[in-house]
Amino acid sequence: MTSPPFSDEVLVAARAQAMELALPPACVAGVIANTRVLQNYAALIRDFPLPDTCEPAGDYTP
Amino acid sequence: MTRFASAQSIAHDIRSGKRSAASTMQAVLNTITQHDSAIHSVTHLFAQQAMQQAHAVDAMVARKEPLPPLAGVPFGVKDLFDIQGHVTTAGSIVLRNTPPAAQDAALVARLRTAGAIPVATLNMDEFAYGFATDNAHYGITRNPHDTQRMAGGSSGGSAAAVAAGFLPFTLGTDTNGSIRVPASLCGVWGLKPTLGRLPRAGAYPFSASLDVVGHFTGTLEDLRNIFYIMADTPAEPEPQDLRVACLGGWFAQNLSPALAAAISRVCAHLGLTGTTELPQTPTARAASFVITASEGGTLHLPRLRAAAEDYDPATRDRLLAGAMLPASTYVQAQRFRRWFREQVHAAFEQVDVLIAPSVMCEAPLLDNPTIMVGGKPASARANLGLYTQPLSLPGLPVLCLPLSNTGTLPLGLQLVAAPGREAALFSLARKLEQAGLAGRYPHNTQQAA
Repeated sequence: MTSPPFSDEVLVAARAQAMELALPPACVAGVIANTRVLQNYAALIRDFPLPDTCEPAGDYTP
Repeated sequence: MTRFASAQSIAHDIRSGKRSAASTMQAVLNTITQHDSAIHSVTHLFAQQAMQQAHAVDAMVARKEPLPPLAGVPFGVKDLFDIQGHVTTAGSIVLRNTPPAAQDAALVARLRTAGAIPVATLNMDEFAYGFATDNAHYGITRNPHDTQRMAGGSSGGSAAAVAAGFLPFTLGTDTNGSIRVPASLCGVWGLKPTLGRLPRAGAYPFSASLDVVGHFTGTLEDLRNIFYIMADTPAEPEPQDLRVACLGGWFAQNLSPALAAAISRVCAHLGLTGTTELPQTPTARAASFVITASEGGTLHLPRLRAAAEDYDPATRDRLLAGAMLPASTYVQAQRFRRWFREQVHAAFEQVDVLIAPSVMCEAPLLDNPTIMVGGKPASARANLGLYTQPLSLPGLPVLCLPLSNTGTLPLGLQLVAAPGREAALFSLARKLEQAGLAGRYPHNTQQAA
């Protein structure tokens, strides 16, 4: 996985600003920690090649 | 004696006149009142209403009216199922000012029609986001077999209430393992049915594309019978000649020695040699994690903007991080889910049931909530779903059975079938129970006959 070009702190602040979301100071550290975990999972998904014809899963109709 | 009695035996005793529904209900209420302080599984008791309904059942018995199958049988619900006239909290104080439920959740309604009586709401992780049932508002639910240990979550109150013998069955929900993890740690039977097979109406949502409603019981017969009552379908014939395979790879790593030995005994009994693997299991877990975070975070975002401080801090920070995930990450996770589902469906062309561990070890200690992952201590709260989360992604039915005679605290095994094939799970579970390999974990309190 390639390291992000900026820190998780900056990433979280930027995402919150883009959503006009005021993060209470008490939760900033926890949100950053959880974002870090999710970034690792997101990288696994991002790096897995899928054909263009693979549609998002919707309702379960096996 | 009603403690540890099964739903089947309670219903039989009431039907036969051996004991009244009212005396049964009073005994259940007494047991909970006397013993729940040790484990804290119950968040609200419907004592008065339950007694009224029990008296109504006794009146039916006196009039010799036909009784529905679960007449007079008490049950509890995870604190996110609507009970008419009661505010559904979903384990939070955030919803405390919402109006009382106008009607029962669909599953509760079906169970009432079958004669069962809701007695209690049961503790959970706030908004079902967690594997610990460690709730900042309503306290920690403790494992009945060792109160220094976790009960698991998020349906921890539901599992613990059955494990402690308070109630014969309870309702829970499973998004990433919230039935299977606590069932495993508490040593009871649990079922996560096929996604969409049971109605979710009136169950407070968490992650809409993954949420499944299900139940916990002390016996396999109750698990099966109550499933078909809740599904509102006749019991299906159980296939006898099952092709079974044991999942390896991801599912064979990090096992405690006792669990590895127990799984080996199961495999030996079934004549299984070797293992099979599901492709890209770590990515399947990642996708389940991301979808849950994104859907849960988006659901709560309006309230988080207004009153983030009202949330349990652990839940709040996870939901906020999830709400801020890019749409592209969520959509890619759902695309991967489609791919993975197709691979899993293909695997079920070769087998009927896959077996896998539920949780890698015994219940972690509450004051040292770690488990061994990759040879290192890791957060239990973050990793108890290691084996359940990948299997949540496709939407398959999974039965969690309590393994017998492991020489440890409870350990659980997942039986996994193709969608809609719950009958195959019941069939294999029965074979393992008859072989002495599965059954409710013993409790140090004398059990009812």
